[in-house]
Amino acid sequence: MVESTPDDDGRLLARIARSDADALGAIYDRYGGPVYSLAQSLLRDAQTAQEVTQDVFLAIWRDAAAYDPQRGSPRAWILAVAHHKSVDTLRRQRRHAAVELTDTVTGDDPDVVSEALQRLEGARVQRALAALPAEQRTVLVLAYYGGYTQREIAGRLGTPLGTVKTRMRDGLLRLRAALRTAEEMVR
Amino acid sequence: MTHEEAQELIPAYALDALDPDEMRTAEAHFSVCEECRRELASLREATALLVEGAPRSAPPAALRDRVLGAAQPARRLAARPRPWPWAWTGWAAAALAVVVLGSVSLSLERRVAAMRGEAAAEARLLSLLASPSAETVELAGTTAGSARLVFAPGRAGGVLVVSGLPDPGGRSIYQLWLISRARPESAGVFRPSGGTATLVPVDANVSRYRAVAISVEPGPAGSPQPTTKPLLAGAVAPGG
Repeated sequence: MVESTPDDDGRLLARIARSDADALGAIYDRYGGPVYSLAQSLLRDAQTAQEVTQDVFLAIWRDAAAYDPQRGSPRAWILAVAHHKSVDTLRRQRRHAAVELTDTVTGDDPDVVSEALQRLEGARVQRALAALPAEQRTVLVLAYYGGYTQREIAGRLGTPLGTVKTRMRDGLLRLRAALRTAEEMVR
Repeated sequence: MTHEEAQELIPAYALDALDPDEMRTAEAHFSVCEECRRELASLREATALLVEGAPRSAPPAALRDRVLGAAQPARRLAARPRPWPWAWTGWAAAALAVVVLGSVSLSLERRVAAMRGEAAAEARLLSLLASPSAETVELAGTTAGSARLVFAPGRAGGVLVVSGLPDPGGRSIYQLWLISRARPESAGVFRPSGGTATLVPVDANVSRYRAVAISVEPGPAGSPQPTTKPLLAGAVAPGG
C-alpha cells in the first residue's frame, strides 16, 4: 500500500472539494486498491466490488467539501465510507437471498471466522488481532470482515446480545490501544 | 437517547454493526455531540487498520477511468443544496402569521400582506399548516435566539421560524439540516433578518426524519454536508 500522510491526503481532499479531477485521480491511486480489496473480500464478486468502489469514490468527490479533519484522518474517513457501502450492499443481497431461499440460507457457513482469520493479510493486523482474547477477536472479525450486525452475530454464536455488545466494545477499544502503543514504539 | 447510551454504541457504529434503528438514533445524537464525534473519529482510525487484513486484489485498470469519467463537476454541483427558494417567502410568511405567532405585530402583518401572493397553491399550503395536527419541534442549543420547525405530520412541507439568532458574520449563512440516516440532508439556507422573525420554508416531509439541526456554513449556497458543529438542534417526536 502506498504510504501517505494525512496532510497530503487533506490537501488532495481540499482540491477535490474544488472539483479538481486530478486530485481525485491521486486519491484513487492511493486508496483504490484497499477500497476495492475490502469490497471484494466482503462481497466476493468482482463486478459488485467494482460498482461499490466507484460509488465510494463518487461519494468522496461529492462530499469532500464536508470533510472535517477533526473527524479523523482522510484515510480513516475513506475506509469508513468503503466499509459502510460494502456492508450496505452485502446486506441488501442477503435480504434478497433470504427471501428467495428462506430455508436453505439459515445455516450458512458456520466457519466464517476461522476462514476469515486464515486469509487475514497484513502482519500488523494479525499481531493486533492475535493479542485480543479469542471471544473479542471473533465478534470483531464477524462484524468487519463478515459484515454482520451485533444482533446477527449473537444469533450465529448463540450468545446473548448484551455479551456480544460488550465484547465488540472491549475488543475495538483494545485494538485501538494496541495501535497507539505500536505507533509510540515507532516514534 | 442519553449521551451515555449513545457512547456505548460508538464502537459498533464504527464497525457498521448496528441495526438500522439504532444507527439512526445514534446519528441523531452524534449530530449534536462533539465528544461522541471525536470518539467515533478515533475508533475509525482503529477500524481503518482492519482493512489491511482483507486479501489484496487489484481493481481492473479500466475502473480508474470509469470513476474519473463519472466524477464530473456538474454532478457534484447538482448534489449541492438548492438555493433558497425566495419565491416561497410569501406563503411562508403568511403561514407564520396564521399558525405560529398567533398574534403578530401590525408592521409584520403589513409586510406579510405586501409579500403575499394569491396563488391557489399558497392557500393550500397555508391550510395544511393551519391544520390542528400541526406539530412543532423546538430547537435548543448554545446560541442566543430560538428556532422552531412547524410541520404537518405525514405530509410534505413545513416552516422554520427563527428569531433572535446573531448575524452569522461575513459571507457565512445558516443552514438547516434534516437527519435520518448517515448523512444529514440540507433543507435550505437562510440569513436572519434583523429584528423580526425569519421564515424558512421546508419542502421535505419532516416526520420522516429523526432530528433537525442548524449550523453556520459558507455562503451563499451552504455546504453539501455540515462543516461546523450544530448551534441548535431538536428531535422530531417518533410517530409525529
